[in-house]
Amino acid sequence: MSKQSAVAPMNLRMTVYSALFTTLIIIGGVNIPIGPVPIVLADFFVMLAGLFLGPKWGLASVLLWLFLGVLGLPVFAGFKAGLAVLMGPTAGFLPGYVLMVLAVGLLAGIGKPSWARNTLALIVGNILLYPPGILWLKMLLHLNWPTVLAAYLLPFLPGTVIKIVVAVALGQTLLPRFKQAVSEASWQPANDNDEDEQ
Amino acid sequence: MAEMTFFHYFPRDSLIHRMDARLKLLCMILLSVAATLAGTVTEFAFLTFVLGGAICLARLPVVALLKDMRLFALLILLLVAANAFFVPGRPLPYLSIPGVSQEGLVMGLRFAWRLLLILMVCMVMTGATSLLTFKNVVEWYLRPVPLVPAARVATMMNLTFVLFPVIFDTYAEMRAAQKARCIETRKNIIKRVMFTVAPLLSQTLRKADEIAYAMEARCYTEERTRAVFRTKAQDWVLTAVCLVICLAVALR
Repeated sequence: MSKQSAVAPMNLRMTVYSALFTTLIIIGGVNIPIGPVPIVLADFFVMLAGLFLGPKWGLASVLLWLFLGVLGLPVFAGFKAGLAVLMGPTAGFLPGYVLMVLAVGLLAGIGKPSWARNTLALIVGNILLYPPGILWLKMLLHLNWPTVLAAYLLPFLPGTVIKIVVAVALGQTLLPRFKQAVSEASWQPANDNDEDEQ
Repeated sequence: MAEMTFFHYFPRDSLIHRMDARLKLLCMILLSVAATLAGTVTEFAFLTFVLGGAICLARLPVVALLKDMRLFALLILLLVAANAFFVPGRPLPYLSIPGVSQEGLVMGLRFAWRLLLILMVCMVMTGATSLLTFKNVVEWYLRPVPLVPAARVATMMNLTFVLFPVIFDTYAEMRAAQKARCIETRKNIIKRVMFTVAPLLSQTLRKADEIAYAMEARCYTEERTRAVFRTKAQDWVLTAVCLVICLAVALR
């Protein structure tokens, strides 16, 4: 019994964190859709989920997001929802997100954490994100390679680079404290706790 | 955020409220598929009529919901405008606005109408089903699925809904604090994103922690008494109606 109670709180906290990242991914998907593939922040929060939560809970968070979408709640980019999205033009990116969160979580989790390792993990994650999505788009819309790449890869690259830079920077500032918080006490941000104490 | 009536639960005694939540969820999935697949004006109008009827049947506060729709009106307008300007095609037949194409406008309007339909489906579902019931239903559906911890997934789903207003409130608070300190005049995009995401993440993680402690303090456990559902004949009739609607749209 004592063993169980020692494990449960930590699991519970990860459950809540994981749900938090799902919510962030959903909110990150809200934007104005232009053309078949909208520019979203969802992938940024998927990267962060992999980086912060690790492969297991990061995956849980992404799968929960997909599950809510299948139920018919408007959680995908541009308020899309339902099983039909899994057949639509952006469907290929959804398994891409699963691969990405796994890759980022696994690669960033091995060994000693460093910004170089995090960068590498995020780059590999993004490399895994695009092939399924682009292959699916190419097949669905019957386009040739140059058109597909010019329309659906190149416009997103600058954004992706910015997202990776920010994610690495966040990993540097917040991740050590987050890891510490998960392993022992609660989340204590460095110096924004002052007003609570007074 | 908290004053929005949009996806709130309204306790009433109506046909839709009394409906077996398991079948209600099934209807919601069917109708959202129908809304996504709809293409012609007739189908859109028909689905709007059906969902409008469902909202009246569930006795949801129509006026309050319409008031909240104003928030989405801006988004929908932007959506229509963006499509009208960016999708290439022929100019408008009667009044020609430079840059606006006929195909783009039609596409934008279709997009907007579909968005409205999906929002209506969600309104009926969330307005007539309490969050706890929704959680129990999801748990019930997931229980036979192997390798899926049904209770935990259902809890996480509920937490996701609970965390929405928390994140929006935190964001609003943080924006106000940053405005007061003139951070938004920064030009460097990476710095700006950093200044937005870092405090947002740090604050929401702390709030998530508070939720975890609250759950712990109330002895949260995944082994709970299982919810009991009862199905009546009228529930099956409603489900059949939804199935017919979905099939009619899908197999047109």
